[in-house]
Amino acid sequence: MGSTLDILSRLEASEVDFVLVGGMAGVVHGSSQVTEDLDVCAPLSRENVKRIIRAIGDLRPRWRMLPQNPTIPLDAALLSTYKNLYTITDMGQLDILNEITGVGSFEEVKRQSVTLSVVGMTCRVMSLDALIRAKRAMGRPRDHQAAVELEAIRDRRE
Amino acid sequence: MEALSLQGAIVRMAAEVTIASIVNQRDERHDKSPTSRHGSAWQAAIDYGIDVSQTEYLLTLTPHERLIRHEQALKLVRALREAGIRYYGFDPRHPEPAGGE
Repeated sequence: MGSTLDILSRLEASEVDFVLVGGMAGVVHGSSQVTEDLDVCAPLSRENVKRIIRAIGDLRPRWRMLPQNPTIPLDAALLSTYKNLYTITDMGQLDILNEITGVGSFEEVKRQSVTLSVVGMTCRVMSLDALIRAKRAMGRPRDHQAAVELEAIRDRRE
Repeated sequence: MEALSLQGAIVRMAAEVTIASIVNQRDERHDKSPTSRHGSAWQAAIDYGIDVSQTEYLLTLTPHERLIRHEQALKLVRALREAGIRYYGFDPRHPEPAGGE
């Protein structure tokens, strides 16, 4: 299996409009939690979906949430009708979210992001404050734990 | 070959844990009372049970270094999970046998 960083690199190389969110964004900000899935917020416009297909189409993307993980049809017109894409690929899990609970639409998430140079690429990452709001809004125990650590990181930086 | 690969991963992890322990011990020596330098959120994390010495160490790294380190940890997690599946004959996270329909 390849790495989640490889997926990130592919998204960037294919010029997908996205912001890194979720646990991996937490890692960027200093979280010690290990996460297996790569979460990005991206508009599922037809053009952006075409870029997503170009980035991961050869990685046998499958529906992660459906029994037997059926293959995802590489049809931009069809996929652009979805709100979120929860996928498993040959390089790992990739969740593509149209909006983020507690923060808002892609444009709002993008507005509340920072641009970083990571692994030889330039990548937008959700800001620490926005990530904390998102984790608090999710309300699950693991999100609560993540929020507590991220708030400590913010505290440490102030 | 796979066993050797796993063995190598475990050896690397052991080395990393040792280094982390040394770093943590060093931090404790330098910072007997971390909350005295930080605010209530830092104390809340300690009270919650989060290993803030690990967090503090990660904050000394660049975002790039954090992602690389996370990737290494993730590789180890996957190697250990595969070892567990081989040992049990199924994925212990799921009730049905691995590869079952």
